[in-house]
Amino acid sequence: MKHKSRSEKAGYLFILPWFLGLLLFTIGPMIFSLILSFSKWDIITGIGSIEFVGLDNFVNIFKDELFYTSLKVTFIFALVSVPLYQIISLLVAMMLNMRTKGMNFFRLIFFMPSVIPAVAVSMMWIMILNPEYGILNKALSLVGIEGPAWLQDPKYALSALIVMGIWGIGNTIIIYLSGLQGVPEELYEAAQLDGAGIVRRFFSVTIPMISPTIFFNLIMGIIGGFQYFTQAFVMTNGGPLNSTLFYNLFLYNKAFKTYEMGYASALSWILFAIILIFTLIVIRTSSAWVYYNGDDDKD
Amino acid sequence: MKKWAILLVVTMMATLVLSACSSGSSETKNESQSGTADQEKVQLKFTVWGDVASAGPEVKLTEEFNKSHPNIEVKFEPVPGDGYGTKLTTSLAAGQAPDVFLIGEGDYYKYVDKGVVEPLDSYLEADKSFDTSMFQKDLLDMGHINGKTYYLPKDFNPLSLWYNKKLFDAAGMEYPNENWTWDDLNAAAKKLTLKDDKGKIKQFGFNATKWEYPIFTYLWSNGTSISNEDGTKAEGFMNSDKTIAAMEKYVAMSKGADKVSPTPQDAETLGGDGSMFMTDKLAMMVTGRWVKYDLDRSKVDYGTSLIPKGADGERGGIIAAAGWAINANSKHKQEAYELVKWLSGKEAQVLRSEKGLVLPATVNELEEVKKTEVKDKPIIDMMAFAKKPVTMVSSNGSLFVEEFNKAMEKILLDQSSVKDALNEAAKNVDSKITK
Repeated sequence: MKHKSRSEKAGYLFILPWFLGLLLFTIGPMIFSLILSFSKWDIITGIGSIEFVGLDNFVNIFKDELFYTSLKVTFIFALVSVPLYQIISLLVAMMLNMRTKGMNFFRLIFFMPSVIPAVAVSMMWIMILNPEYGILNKALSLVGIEGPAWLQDPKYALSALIVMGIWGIGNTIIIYLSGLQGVPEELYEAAQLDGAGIVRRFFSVTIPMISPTIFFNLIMGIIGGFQYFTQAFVMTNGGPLNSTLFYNLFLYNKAFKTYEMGYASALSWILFAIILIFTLIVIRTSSAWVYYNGDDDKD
Repeated sequence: MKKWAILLVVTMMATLVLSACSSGSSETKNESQSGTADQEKVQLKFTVWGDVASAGPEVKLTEEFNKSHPNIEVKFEPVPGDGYGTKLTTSLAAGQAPDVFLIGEGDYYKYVDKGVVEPLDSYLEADKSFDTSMFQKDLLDMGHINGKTYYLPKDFNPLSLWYNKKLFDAAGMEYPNENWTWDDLNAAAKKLTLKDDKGKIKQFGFNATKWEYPIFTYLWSNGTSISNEDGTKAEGFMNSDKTIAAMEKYVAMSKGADKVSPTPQDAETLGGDGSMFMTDKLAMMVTGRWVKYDLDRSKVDYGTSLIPKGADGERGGIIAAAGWAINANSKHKQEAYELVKWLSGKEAQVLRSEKGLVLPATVNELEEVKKTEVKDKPIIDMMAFAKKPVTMVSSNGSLFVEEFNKAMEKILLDQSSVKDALNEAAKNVDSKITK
């Protein structure tokens, strides 16, 4: 009895540093922001000036035109970018999965952009997308197209950010690649013997076998898509005409430009709920399309 | 049940620890002070935006202050990059803000409104040795809010007209002078706007910026403004017939076939008005004196003149400035006052303006500059025409500016006519004004 409690204690001691970190830097701030979301606080005047206002913040948010604008921008971005990035990542991963000489070099090239900090990437893309001197419009002009002012035109700014995002899908590619490498070769051989062509093999062998990987990447993609911030903050700051006012950017402006901390906290909890709903939808439907190897008793 | 109870207790403890962290900070600071060898020494901190390298005078002033005040230990902590406002705000919230900090004129009202800036009147009254009449009256007035003095001047930058001599010479034109009206400027800008063989503009005559300060001076010279005197009403000002007519003319400078100015987007993609000016792609601009630092280090041959007057002879100017403020929650306000006095005083003014980097805020020293510096004379003369932008007369100011900027963006991107956009903006401002 005594012995058991001692080892128990040791166990708790081992997790203590992590647990304290979680409490101090995650749970604590979360509770604080939950309290704030029902309060009015302009941060400058200090903690004493927090004023409880009930549901006012939420009521005002649902009356705020910019809230809907930012929701629209974020949903369009997520709706387009999540499937787009998944498909492109998978295609690239399949190419990188081929056994050719020097493949490691290509893998490196595709992964490298995701190691560069987002701010540096954004600064570089500002230059690439510059309508006057940018390399993109220079290239377009060679084939006779006059490129638009990508980031300064409300019609193109969001698309420019979506396309730019393709550059940073290295992480997703790597995860797909490891998924692809886990598909046993004999399955392909068996399918080939049965007369399955390359397309059939892709849809009937590859996709089901890597469905857990797709599942994981999809959830991470959705979360990342809804939380998009840095690039828009650095490159467009929500403009022109709020065409790239992402939800998180709107939230940031409320918190640190107009100092409406309560309002911003309420916004963050709404975003939390939105992401939770979408993640739950994916998880709920997953039993229908995600196949786990060796999970045969269910069928 | 038990698990929940434990979790609850632990989280409550965590929140307690958290709140202790933020509110107890000042006490812990005090403890560490009393722990030092010298019991009497008061510790002060002050901050400005920018990096240490560009704040040479402040570093030197800190050293000298520490030498002449053995009972005070001052630490200078500048904030580099553009995070100054955020950093100051969060540190104020946490009760860890510096005792003395620098504020830009556009935020003077905001910080006073939040009650985080200490009024200086009682300290000034008690201190007969320090005479504030040595400062430029305009600058002192700027720091005067609701009948109290909150800020003492560090430095200031009046707006004026800057022109590229080379481009004027090439066109065989006379330089701008103090009799110019905005119509003269427009006519000159037309002649100075040149196109290449493909019909693309390679040289702009003027930069009709979307930045509100030059626009304010333009509107004032046209006898109108975006707000009433005390910044409480937009209807009938932001959308008055005069304002609409003036803004239509202003916007026409950067739009259409006859444009003489880059659009804000053009200017942004071409590197901003300063670099366009320095590379001989822009002939004229209205901006603050801070641009002089870069211009003097480039090859551009430039001159300055008064901002043009309106058809009725009215003229408007703005002085951008930065002022020292004492944190209302400082533990050592008297010492902080000594520091503010030192940082804005005569020695500091002389030291900062030595190499012509900034203009001295004191009357006598400024007169000296005016006598010797040809390029600075029109800039200093512009002070006589200075008015306060709406952000400096009311805590509603930022509302006016925000809505006006939004309207400008809509107009410049062809989303709305000048009239509709300004009507909407005026309505929005008035609906949001609370005081």
